[in-house]
Amino acid sequence: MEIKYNENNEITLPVYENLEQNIEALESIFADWGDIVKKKFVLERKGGSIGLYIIYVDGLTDNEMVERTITRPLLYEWRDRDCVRPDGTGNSGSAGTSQTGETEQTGETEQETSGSEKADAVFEQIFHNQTEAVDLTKQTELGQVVAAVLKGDTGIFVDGAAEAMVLSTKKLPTRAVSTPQKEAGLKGPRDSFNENFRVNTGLLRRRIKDPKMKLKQDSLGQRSQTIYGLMYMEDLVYPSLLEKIEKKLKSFEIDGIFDSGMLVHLLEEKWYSPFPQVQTTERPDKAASAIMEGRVVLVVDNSPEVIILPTTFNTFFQAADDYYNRFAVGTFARCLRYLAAYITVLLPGLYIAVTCYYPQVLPTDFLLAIAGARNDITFPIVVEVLLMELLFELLREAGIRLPGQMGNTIGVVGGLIVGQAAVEASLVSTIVVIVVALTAIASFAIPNEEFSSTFRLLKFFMIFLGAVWGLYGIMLGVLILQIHLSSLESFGIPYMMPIVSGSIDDEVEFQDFVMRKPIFTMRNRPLYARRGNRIRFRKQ
Amino acid sequence: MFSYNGKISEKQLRRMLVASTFAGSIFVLPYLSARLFGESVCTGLIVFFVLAVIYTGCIYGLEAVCRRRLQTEKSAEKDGNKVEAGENAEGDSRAEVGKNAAQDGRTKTGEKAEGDSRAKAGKNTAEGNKVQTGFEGLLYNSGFWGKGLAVIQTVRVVLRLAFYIILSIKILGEAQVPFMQKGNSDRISNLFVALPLLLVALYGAAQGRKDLDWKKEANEKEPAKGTAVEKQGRLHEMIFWVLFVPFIIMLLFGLKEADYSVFVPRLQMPVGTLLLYSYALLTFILPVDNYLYLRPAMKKGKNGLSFGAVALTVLLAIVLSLFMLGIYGIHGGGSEEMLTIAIMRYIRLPLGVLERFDVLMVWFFMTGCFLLICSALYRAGNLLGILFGRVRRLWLLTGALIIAVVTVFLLPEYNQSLTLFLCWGVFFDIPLSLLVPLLSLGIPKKYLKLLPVLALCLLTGCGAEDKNSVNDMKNVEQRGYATILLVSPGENGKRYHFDLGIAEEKRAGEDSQTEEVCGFDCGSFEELSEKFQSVKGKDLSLAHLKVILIEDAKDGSAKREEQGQLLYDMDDNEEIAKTCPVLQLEDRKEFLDYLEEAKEPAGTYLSDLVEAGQRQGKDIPWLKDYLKAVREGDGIFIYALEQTEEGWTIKCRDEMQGSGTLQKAGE
Repeated sequence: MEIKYNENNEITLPVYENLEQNIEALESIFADWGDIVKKKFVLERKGGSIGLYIIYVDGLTDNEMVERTITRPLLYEWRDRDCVRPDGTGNSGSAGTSQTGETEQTGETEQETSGSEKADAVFEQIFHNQTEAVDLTKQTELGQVVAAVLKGDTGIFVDGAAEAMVLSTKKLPTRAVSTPQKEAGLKGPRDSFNENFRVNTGLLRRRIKDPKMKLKQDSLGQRSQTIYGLMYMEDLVYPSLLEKIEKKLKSFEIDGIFDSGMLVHLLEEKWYSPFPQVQTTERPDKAASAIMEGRVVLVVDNSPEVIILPTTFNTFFQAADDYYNRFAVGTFARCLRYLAAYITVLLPGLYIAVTCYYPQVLPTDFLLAIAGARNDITFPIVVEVLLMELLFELLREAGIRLPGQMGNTIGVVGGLIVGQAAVEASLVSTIVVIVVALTAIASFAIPNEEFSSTFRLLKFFMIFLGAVWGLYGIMLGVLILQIHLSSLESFGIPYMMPIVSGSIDDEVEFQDFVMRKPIFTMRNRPLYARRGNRIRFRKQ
Repeated sequence: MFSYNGKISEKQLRRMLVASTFAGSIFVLPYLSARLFGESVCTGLIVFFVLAVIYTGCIYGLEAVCRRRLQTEKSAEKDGNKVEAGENAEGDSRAEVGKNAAQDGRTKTGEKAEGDSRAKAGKNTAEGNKVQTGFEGLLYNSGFWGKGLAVIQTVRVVLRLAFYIILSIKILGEAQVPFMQKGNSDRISNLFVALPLLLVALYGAAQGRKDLDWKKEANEKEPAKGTAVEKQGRLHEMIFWVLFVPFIIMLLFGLKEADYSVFVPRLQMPVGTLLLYSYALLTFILPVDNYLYLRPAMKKGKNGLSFGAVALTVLLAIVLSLFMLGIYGIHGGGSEEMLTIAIMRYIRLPLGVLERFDVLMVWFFMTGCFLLICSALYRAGNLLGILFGRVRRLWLLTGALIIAVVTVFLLPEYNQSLTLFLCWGVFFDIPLSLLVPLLSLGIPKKYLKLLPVLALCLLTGCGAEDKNSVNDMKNVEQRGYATILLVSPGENGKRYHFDLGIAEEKRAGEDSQTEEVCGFDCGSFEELSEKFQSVKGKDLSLAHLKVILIEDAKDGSAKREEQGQLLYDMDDNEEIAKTCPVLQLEDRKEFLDYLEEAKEPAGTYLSDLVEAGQRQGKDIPWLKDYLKAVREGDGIFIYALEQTEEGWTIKCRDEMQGSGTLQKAGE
């Protein structure tokens, strides 16, 4: 049979009344599928036999569940019993008893009933009475059934019925909920999202038990059919924000989405910006907190990270354990992170600018120490710094790719031995090693890896400007960054909130900025939450 | 959500006004006020403040009148008292013509459609009116004045932009290029340094969509992705405080340096002249008239806040100017064109964190220059948009920048340009800043005949060096750092003999470094640098001098004159910190012997001696004190370095009176 696909790669066939036709179509679709399980059964009933066809994908489906809820009741428990329609009319001459025992009928045969109606009656009987499944749905489109089967559900076809049943039997291969790898913290919950969509939504539901938390679910990717869900608080989120996100998600077609990282790039308004305009997290507590602030969390199947929308520059400096520690500790940590960001971007460039153009600003003893350390170095300072920075980036990249223990080893070997050897070989001076090491340490203090990478990239831009124009060049670079950052927006929210809030509500916006105020003073939700519904803390 | 609405908040408006007003005045006001008012500087600046408040009040009043006028017109339109004469530029339904049937001048509002030079007015949607209200709305009118007023405004803004570019080049030339020349190439050009700033300003001004596009986009479901005025507001909000950093530092660490007698009002010049000069200074707070186009874009808010902020900003600029003159001296300030930059060399940071910080301040000064250029460019781009219609925003801004840069090349060097700009402000810019909004309101015909008279009254009332090539940059170890400079009368026809103590580099594991001694006969510091380079193979750096020793000039006034010249030469040398202690020395040879034999760094030793002396209450003069004494006639005590049996000691020897005359002083 020739299978027709539309431009969205969807099958356009209906579910046929004739079971053989359905089987033929499914055989064509799943030809050369070694892992497909399909079987035709004959259900023996008093009024005659009924043809049944079951199909699912091995490896994605809970086989036991199929057996327990479908095959066993239909083949054994209901064997040789009457089929009764839910409205009370029977299709066979003898009496039948429903599984629930609610209805028991004996009646005259309905010879006049058409074959189609009989089949429908049988279908309804099976659907409502004879299976033990809860999550069972009807489908009239073959494409929908196939899509469900591909997601791990089981398709059930009844001879004579122009409908099919889809039983939710997903049992996707997944790993257990583990500790967060990239956003580890000393305090707070240790669970993290994994690749299973339902586990991820469950982790959020576990934290927010409010019927107002909605989950709008759909799929993306013509071929991958990746499930995604928008989770939000109905009464807190701005409807316009939700609409904007949905519109953006519908604004493109793509073959497949395999991770939230791919979706991030499609959601960002300024693709050329080095700064991430949406935030990803692997921590359910962070995502739940965002939902409570009136933001939207986008959960993507197969991705261990969820996307938080909208986001601001400041949110990337917020770590989950800031809120679990005492406010002074949290504030101090924030200050350190901001300082770390400045060090990461500016320190190597400033070192070049000051030593090459403005040595007069350095204290004399320190300057002479730098000059002494550099006396035997062949390369100019800029080359020296670039050399060390590239070496560090190489070590970092190699450390990520290598398995755990080897990755650690390469860090130690690179940092200590190669660095020491480079100094002894007069390739670089000790001061440069200190500068690069400090920059590297600072880059790791930024809680978001993606954000930290941006700063590491910008560091090279600043090195260039510092080498060409000195401090003035660095100033120009900072100005360019400020202009760029002030022009960025994330789904209608200025990226540099609360610095550019335009004094909408300074007290609220600055409560969770560099200084993290005590929890009991943060009475209002931030600006993301809908106006008029911003109070989140009350004293009894 | 709150972005994409084409509006700025009251805070953003305040910051946009304050930043431009402060940056526009602070670089020029100290120098000009000292030059114009002399000893009456405080009185003059008080009068200037009063005039500034009055002028700001006039601008605010005019804007309110303009806004009310348009509101009246809009309500008249709503009442059905309108005439439509639709005009469609690109097939959309946007152009409508409306007019008020007011009896006097037929004021219209509207916007030019592409390819159509005819007058249009009106707005078809409420959203479309968001930006084009008030003065801007009237300016778009192509009625009697329409384009003419827009042309005048454009010329005003472009000239202002050109002056700001000259100012920036001057600041860069003063505070940046010399250091880059030291570090990179002695032939590096001002243009090479200034060009990136202009490009960054262009990038800043080009953010956001053209405000006028709102008219079209109001009809669309999805509004523009942030209008330019919103982005400008955010930008100003973001870098606002950076502008004030150097001045906060200056205030913190310069308090004890200032002479507060300049804050006493004196009147030593005719009142008329004082008034005229005060009026002239208004030229530098003209960015206040940005309020005319910013206010209509503001959301609800009180006007009084921004008015107060502007007044306070002017007051702050005045106080800082007086403060700078208190440190530098009025006469010295009147001859130092870039007093704001120079003053940073007179302040020393405590705790020895940084040896000098004046060069770091350039970072912040350039933020001020950037804000000035960026806001003027943005304004010029908008005005060109009125003249040329729907041209792409980036092209308009580039055009405005090119015109301004060409104007810069046509103008003379900074000092003359400053005078020209001042004259332009006095006779044209200030009057026009009030007159153009008035004209945009429409003037009854009976008053039109007064215009030529007014113009007559006004009329009767009244460089960038391009070099190129960049060599390899100088690394830190390619310089010789002098810690001691000993100056004595020169031989072989040379004015000075310089003995230098050059600090040797400190290697890891070594306890201390000593100084290498070398001497040169030279006519100037430039010659000294050249000779040092040819002999030592390194560049000479005088930035780390711990002490300056001057061989005692006790035999005759001729040598004292030479000493005065030496001080001026040192003042001109940007490398020498003005916070370096200066000591007299009786026996040069004795000191050189000590220097050659010293086992410890002599520069650090002498620096410690000076600090110890200061702790004992000795008022050991710094170079800046000598310079002030020469310029202002202040008296200072002169201290000398003398050798005793126990070692070297610092003793007070003379008291120097104004103009370098020395008198014997008792201990």
